Amino acid sequence: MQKKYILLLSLSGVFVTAVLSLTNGITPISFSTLRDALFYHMGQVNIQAVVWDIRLPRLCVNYLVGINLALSGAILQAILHNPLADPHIIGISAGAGFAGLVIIMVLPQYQFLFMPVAFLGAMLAAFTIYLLAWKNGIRPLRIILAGVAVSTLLGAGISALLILYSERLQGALLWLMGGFSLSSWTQVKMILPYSCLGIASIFWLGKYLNILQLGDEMALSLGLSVERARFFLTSLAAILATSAVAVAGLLGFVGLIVPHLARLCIGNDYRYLLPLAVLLGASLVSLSDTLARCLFAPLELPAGIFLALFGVPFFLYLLRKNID
Amino acid sequence: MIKKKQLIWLLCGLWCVFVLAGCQNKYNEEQKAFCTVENADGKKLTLTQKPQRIVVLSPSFLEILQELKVPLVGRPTSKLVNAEIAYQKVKEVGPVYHINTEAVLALQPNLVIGMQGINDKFAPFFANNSTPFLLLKMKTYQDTENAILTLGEVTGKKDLAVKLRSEMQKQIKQVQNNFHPQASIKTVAILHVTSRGLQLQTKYSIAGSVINLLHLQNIASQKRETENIPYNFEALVQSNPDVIFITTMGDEAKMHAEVKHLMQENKAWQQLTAVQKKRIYYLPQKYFLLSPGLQYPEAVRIMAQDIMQIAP
Repeated sequence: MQKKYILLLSLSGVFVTAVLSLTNGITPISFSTLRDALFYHMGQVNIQAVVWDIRLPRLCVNYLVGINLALSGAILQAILHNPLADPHIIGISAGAGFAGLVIIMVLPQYQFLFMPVAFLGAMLAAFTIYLLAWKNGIRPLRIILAGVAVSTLLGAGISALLILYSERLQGALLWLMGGFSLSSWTQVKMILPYSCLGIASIFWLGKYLNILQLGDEMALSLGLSVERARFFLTSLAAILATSAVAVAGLLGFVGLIVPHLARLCIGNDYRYLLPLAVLLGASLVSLSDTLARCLFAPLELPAGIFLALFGVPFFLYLLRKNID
Repeated sequence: MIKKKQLIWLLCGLWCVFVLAGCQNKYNEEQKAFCTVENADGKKLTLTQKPQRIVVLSPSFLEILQELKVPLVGRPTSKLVNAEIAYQKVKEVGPVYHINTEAVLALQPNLVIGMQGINDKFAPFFANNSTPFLLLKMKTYQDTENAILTLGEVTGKKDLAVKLRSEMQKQIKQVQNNFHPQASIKTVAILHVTSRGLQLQTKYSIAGSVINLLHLQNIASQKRETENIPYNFEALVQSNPDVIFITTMGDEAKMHAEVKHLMQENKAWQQLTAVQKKRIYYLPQKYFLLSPGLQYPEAVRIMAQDIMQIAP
């Protein structure tokens, strides 16, 4: 019963962050004005345009990115038995980052190919990691080590691009930090199918992740095909993370801290942890983005900066805490 | 045998002699200095003699030095335009963002001229090698004027530099006198747009400096000296500038098409009056990417003509 209350509370948190995001900005919008614009399409034309064309699509992208990254992190931590696993550490984000930077810095005239190229880069990185880690099956430690290696290599590639094309640095940095500037309904449409896949999978993933948490031998003895499950789940985590990175850049810490936050609140049962991670991920990213665009308006900082500001203290707390 | 007291007096005397000799040398150096100028980072640079072997690290200086008839021993690797053809046979020291310091030192320069924002990192290197290093900035029009005068001073062509500056001022004045935009045109935004984000250029950029010269208001105000600022799209919509200029990098035609596509795809852009009334102008990279240098009047002319052609 308590877990259901926690989930309900988190759901209300999502609603609160939505209201915060839609009412705050350069153009002040009261709650009643927001309600009229959203549900009755009433109010001044410019207010409706701000709500429907700028803030609402941005909020949707915030939520979908938060959902995808949180789910990806939760899945990876379960299958790799590593509390520090997240899409950044295992190289998926670096793949998207490198591919995306090639477009931004080397071929800026092909911006329209940005998302498919970033997506491809991330999937190639995930495939390479899996291939490198494969030796008569997959072991979680090998995936992490292969991921770190691939991530380091691609990180060097990113650094090389930043140096060789240093005159185009600023535009690239904004994306590398992660942000939601110029989010539109087009981007919502791009990421929505992946988020729907992720949300749908919550309803049956939980039990498999609970079994995988027990260890490979126990999972095998319970009748689970460990290798197949691990392959499928890694692919799902990669797809979720890739779609988020392609839209919002290299947003750090969501995949790492949100599953732990959920774990602290609701425990290790993935049947409850996954829905909570989804709700917390959505709220955290939305809150960070609202701060990023409002705190120093009209200047807009990348949301990734505020995620790091929240994430680092929590990460240090995890380091101090005895994590089993 | 020298007593202890006498020894101390002898040592003090010797010390005084050395100190005075050093002061005298410094006095003589200052008296003999060819010129003293100020670097872009605020530090003073004293040249004891007129430099005969000059290496430049940025192509933005070439046209000015060509007009001042200054011979060079080294230049950056870049595509030379007409005014710079005289330096075609000058030894190259690498692309402007990746200067080869070994190649520079091999030319044994007695003055190296670099651009602030690109070549700053070489200052400690040349200081360690006792090579005078002049750092200049040339983004805004004021920077360009100062750079022309400084280059004139360090090369002993001060009068010619003053003449160049006066000619540039005259041309810009002419553009300003003929600039009569519609009364409704007051605010301008200079955007650098990609699908990844939005940046606005401030008065410390080339286009921002031109807007200042045309006495229009740039919506991106910034106290700190920075060329670009990441801007909130909602703030841009609220400011609703009367005219939007766009700067790009890369293939110009393709970038223009990309920006047009972005504005059509995202309905939010249609809220801007400048977009609705098609008051969007793309600034040529030739004048607005790197410093236009002596072609500043042409940069001013381009933006002035774009604004003046706007119908009421």
